[in-house]
Amino acid sequence: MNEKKVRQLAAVMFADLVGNTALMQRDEKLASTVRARHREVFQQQHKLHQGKIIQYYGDGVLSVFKSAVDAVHCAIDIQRRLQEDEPVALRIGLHLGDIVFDKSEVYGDGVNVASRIESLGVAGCILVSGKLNDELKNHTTISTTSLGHFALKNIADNIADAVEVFAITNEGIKVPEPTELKGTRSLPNKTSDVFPVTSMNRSGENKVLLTKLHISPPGIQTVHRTELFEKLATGLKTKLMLISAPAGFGKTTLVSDWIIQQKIPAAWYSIDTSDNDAAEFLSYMITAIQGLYPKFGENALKLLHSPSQISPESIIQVLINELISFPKHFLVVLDDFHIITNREVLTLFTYFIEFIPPTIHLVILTRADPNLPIAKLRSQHQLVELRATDLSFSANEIHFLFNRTLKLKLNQEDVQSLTIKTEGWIAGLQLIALALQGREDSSAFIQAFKGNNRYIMDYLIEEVLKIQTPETKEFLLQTSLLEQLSGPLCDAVLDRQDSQTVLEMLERNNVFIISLDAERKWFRYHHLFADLLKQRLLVRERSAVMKLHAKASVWFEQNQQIPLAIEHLFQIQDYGKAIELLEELVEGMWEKGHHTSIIKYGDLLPDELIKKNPRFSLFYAWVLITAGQIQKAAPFLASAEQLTRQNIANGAAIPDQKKLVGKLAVALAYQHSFMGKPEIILAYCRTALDNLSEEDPLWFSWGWYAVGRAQLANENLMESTVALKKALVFGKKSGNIYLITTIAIALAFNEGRLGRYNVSYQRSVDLLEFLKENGYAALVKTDWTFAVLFANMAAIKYFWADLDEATENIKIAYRLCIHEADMTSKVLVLVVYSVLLHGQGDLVEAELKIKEMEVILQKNKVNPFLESMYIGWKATWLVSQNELEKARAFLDMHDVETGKPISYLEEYRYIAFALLLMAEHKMEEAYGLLSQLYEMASAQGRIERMIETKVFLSIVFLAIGDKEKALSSLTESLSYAATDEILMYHLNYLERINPLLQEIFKKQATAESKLPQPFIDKLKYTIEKRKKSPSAHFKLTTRDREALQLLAGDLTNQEIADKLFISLNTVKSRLKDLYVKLEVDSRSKAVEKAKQLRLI
Amino acid sequence: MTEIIIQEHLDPTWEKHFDALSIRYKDNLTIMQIEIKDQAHLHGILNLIRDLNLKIISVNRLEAG
Repeated sequence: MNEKKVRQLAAVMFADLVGNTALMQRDEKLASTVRARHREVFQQQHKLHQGKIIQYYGDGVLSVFKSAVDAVHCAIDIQRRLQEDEPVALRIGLHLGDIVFDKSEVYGDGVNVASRIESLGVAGCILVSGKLNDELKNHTTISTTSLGHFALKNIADNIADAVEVFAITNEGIKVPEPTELKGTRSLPNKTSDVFPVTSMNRSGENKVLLTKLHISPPGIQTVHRTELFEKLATGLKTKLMLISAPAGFGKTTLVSDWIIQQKIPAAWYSIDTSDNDAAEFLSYMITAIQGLYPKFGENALKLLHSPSQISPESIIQVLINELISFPKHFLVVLDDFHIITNREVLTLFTYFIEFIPPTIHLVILTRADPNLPIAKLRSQHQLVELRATDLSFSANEIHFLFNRTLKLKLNQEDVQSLTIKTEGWIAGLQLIALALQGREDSSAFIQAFKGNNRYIMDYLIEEVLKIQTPETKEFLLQTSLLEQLSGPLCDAVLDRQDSQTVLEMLERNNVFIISLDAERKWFRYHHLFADLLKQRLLVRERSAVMKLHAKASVWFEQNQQIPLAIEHLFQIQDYGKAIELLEELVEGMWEKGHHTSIIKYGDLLPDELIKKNPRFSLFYAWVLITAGQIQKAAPFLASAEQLTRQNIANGAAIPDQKKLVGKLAVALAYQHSFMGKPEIILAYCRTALDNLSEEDPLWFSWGWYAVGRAQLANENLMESTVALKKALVFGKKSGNIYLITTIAIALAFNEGRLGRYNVSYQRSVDLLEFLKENGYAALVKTDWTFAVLFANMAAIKYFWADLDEATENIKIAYRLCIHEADMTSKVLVLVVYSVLLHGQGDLVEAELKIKEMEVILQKNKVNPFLESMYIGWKATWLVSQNELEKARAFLDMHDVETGKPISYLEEYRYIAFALLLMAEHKMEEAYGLLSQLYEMASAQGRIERMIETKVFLSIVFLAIGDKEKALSSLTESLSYAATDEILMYHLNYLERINPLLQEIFKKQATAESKLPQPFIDKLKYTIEKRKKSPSAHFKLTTRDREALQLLAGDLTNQEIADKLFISLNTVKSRLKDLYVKLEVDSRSKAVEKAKQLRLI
Repeated sequence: MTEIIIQEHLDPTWEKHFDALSIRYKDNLTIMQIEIKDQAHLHGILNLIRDLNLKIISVNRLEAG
């Protein structure tokens, strides 16, 4: 993020000679003449239309224009010129987008899209993206026509990315037929034998089933329920409409009828069992909303593609931020919500409800009340509920259905009987209607039904099946185990050729079948009806049922619907085949963040079978680790590692073996990073990096990241930083937001510890900028991982003596992490906060922050480095308060003593110890310790610590009367501090070193020292400023302040003594101290001055 | 052993679906005896009852023996 680069929005043209390479092989001379003419025309026209040619790529040219209109005019003129005399075959693509100029290259979304659009075309045409076309609307000199939406290779990650492509239709420009274009058209409801799907990633796995997002129009016999519509309409003022009733109460029909009749904008999502996965669930919800707002949710989707778990709150914030900008009211309908049992999804959804903008109204259709804050919504009047009693048909409606709609001529008494017997349950009534078809004796049937004790559905389904032909009956039973039905699928499963006709006949006859797309290719049975049929099928011989599943699985596999094929394989427990298919699928799922689904599959499969499959083991183990199940993951990784080694030893030719070895090593390093053995981690990292390459930037980056963490644990800060830098380079290539963020934060923290404040701060600013530019501003404000980033920025600002900005940053950090579970970042933030408050003279608050740390540390174990930070700061605090005995006891308790080796982890507590020794006037001991600490720091190039120890040493030398050495130590510390202008280590001990500093400044003036002048000026200026600022100057302790407060309250000395449980003499001596510090000579003046300085 | 009582007479062919050891009737009620393996199993059974829109009258744990 540090490179010099320029980003701009431009009209981008990509033009390519068609067939010139082939021509080159046939007739070199002609080919180069063509190229020369092409270039000539190009240069000429670009000059004319103020375009800028950026680069030639063989037969291709990339150029940019400031105006879209200029670009199109230029393209038209080029094509026309090239058609004269001997025509030159050229394709042109135009797009309006971001383009980035680097030192060496040009790239960006704009370039990619223009080039892809160009490659769709045919010779003589000019194709433009929808975005560019928008700019042409008011220009009568240019005419265009739409060719439809196209999924652009390597760009279209989901349906919203499909780009609408237009052709320029001006005279002399060829307009291709949509079918002539080379790309894949992606229509939002495309029809095929296969499911209407939209490819969610390049490998084509994890497709979205558009049938799940289709609003099924109710059948012709639907009773429109205007009274209920009115009740639903009141929901347009609330957050949630809850339609909660058992199966068969007409929930789906009611809501879809309402939406269609009243033309209410709505996103519809029919949930199924595979949606108990946060990533999957969100993908579908986002894709559903994209039906209304095509660009919606891309950032959130990208965020889900994370090798680790992302906080649901952050993702929801990213989504909400976008939703707020949508002006129109619309519904988000979630059908069959009772299927959702996954806690993660429910948490996510609870957040969603909480923050949902007032323009969006959720409609939940469910058989059971969901585990969401329903009561809260009810009390806030944000809920409209429809329940079974509201939904059930009244006698009037039953009369209407049977007599008006179906014309069955039931008498009043029959209607009454039906009302009582069915209690208005719609599924029952509809089965009755079916059973009555073609019967003369309606009343007799109803009387018999009324008098029967059997479960209504058992009774009715038999009546209905009885009147079907044996063939239809068989069709219904055998297809009941298919979740979705299509003609070709049913043909394959039942060995017949006419399934489509049967399905259409069933739909016409209203036999509980619902169409799932506008083309009537896909259907499903009503769930309850399917359950009843299935039960009748399952009492048959098991082998017959198994065969049906097996055939369905084969069909789905052949039609690239692998997840559905796997579902059927699990039904018949064909685990061997299932894992074979899963092996192909699992990496894509992992990339998409579908962790819960991988765990679900893994838990269903027998462990022994998984262990024989290294590839599945790899991803299963990884998601187990991120879910905290490290113990459970270990054996899978171990067997995968062993098996892969064996395979290599046996010379088995398995594709991508090397990559697999590398990825497994990354996973093993990841696993061991929780067990804290840096040597083992580093060994795995070596294997990983030996076997992986930049081709797998995500893995390669993770490998380097693991090296960085392990080196840090090994106290090799430099090596760690180098590794993290590499990790960041590849992380950026992978484009994975989570990875980039994690690495950049770790890197900035490292660089801070190395004293490279400028680099560290800039890196942090760049990361925030990068996230904002890419639409993740909301993430920064909500995700606690950024607490560390802001704490580091606050610390740097503090050491730059910019306390106001430091305060701003630390407040953000504090707010981000204080309610989160991550203790480590909490302690870090609290230490920085407390140091900062102390620096501002707010001792009371500073002490409160220390107490806050202690509460956390009493209950939790934190990273030893941070524990040390706390110990170091608390001891420093005690020393600064002149509580030397307490400080010593505290450090004793944490085994701090001189004369033993010190690890990097413990360093902070020893710095405090040195301060204590100095305060105790044990200068020799302090000197020894400080020298040891300096050696440690300088060996690792840790500038921060080098400055601090040199400042301390200078104070020690001064105390023992060696002024020469004191001066030279201080000069050294200043020279370390100069590069990144680190001020605070010197300012904090100003009262002791100021005379020395002034002396050095004088020498500086006579050019004896080589310190950079701007740094010296800055330091001088800050010293002057601090002299004038009040609170920091008077080194008041907490006790001093207590006394001041009481003094201001007009208490006598005796009263103060009583209040503080100290003797009268102590009070007197304390007040005397206070007068000296405040430079006053009486009580009243002390109070007055304290008020002036806002000390009380 | 758990005894689930629901309203109306459920066809004996449901026995397998419900994992039931026996299905018998009393008045207008169906009494199913089921060996419940764990809570998840029980919830599965209750969901099935819900999905079929059957009315639960009672669910009782029977003493072993």
